[in-house]
Amino acid sequence: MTAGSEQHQVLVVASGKGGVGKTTTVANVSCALARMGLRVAVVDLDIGLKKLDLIMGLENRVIYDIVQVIEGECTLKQALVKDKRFPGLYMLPAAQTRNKDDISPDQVKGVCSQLKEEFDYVLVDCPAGIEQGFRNAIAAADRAIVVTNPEVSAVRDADRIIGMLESNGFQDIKLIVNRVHWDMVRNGDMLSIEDVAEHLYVDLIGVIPEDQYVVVSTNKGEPIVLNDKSRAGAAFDNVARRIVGEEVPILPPQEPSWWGRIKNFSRGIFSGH
Amino acid sequence: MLGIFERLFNRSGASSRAQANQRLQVVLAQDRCAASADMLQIIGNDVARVVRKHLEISGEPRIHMLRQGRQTVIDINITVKAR
Repeated sequence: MTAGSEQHQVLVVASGKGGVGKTTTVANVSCALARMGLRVAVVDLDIGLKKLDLIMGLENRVIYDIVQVIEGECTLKQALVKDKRFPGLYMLPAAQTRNKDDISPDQVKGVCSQLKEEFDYVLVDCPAGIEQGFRNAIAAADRAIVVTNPEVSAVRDADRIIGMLESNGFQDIKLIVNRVHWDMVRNGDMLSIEDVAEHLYVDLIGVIPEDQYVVVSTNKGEPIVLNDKSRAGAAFDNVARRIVGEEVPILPPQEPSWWGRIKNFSRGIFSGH
Repeated sequence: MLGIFERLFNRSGASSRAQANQRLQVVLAQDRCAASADMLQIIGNDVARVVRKHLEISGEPRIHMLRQGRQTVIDINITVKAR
């Protein structure tokens, strides 16, 4: 499939469990797509608990929100916040003082179909949970990306979300495993990517290593994909490239630390291979 | 000596990763079809009762939930008594 035929799509980023990195994923993948010269809109549907504006560093530019658009208080164009860095990137903020039941799946569909006309990709940041907010977020989506961590409760919730996406007719569901500590995987103290993929049985579209730069970027409201030193940034960039149809191999784990090397070496000696 | 190193570097089969995999295996199979361990046992006993109408069986039925891809399979093992 060419990149062109995959364009003008709505992608929902979901997880079930909170705190696994949905919003960070949406912010960074959308920046990476916009850096490719694509026109991208991000929609924050976590009404009542918005974060996307803060993570993208756009909180001071927010004037209207999606609920006001739906209720006719402003136009969609007025509510869209232009990104500071990328000319093709816009964000539709969530409302902070309303709740998820104030909008319906059909209304979200209406907003997204308008956005789809203008933008190559519309990324929807789905709230945690499986209630109304989830139903709103998946209503307009053509594809779904499920974010999880290599940790039992996150995998369990991801499994539930994948099941619900499947029963809602989603054919294209991809998986991001976020916050992978390669050292811990090597030592048998964390689920490996293969383990997670085997449990969930959906195709991987990204593996994001644990990376302290993410906290630093979030503090500043800057995308991590702009940091050349960050492995998480590079991994998010690769997710964006896979979304547009490029074949990019999953990043190999970083080299073990010197202590890790000693452990591996001694392990080899004492286990006899 | 080896034991110390195994413990130090977590090389034993009971690594937390192995435990996480085992626990997920069970919990996901049950989540997907909303079945509890109790319900599985009841299903096993019901099936065994049907089989007993026709064949003599030995022991209790062994029942497991297995996952094949995103589907859950109920695996019931019933041993038939040899003649």
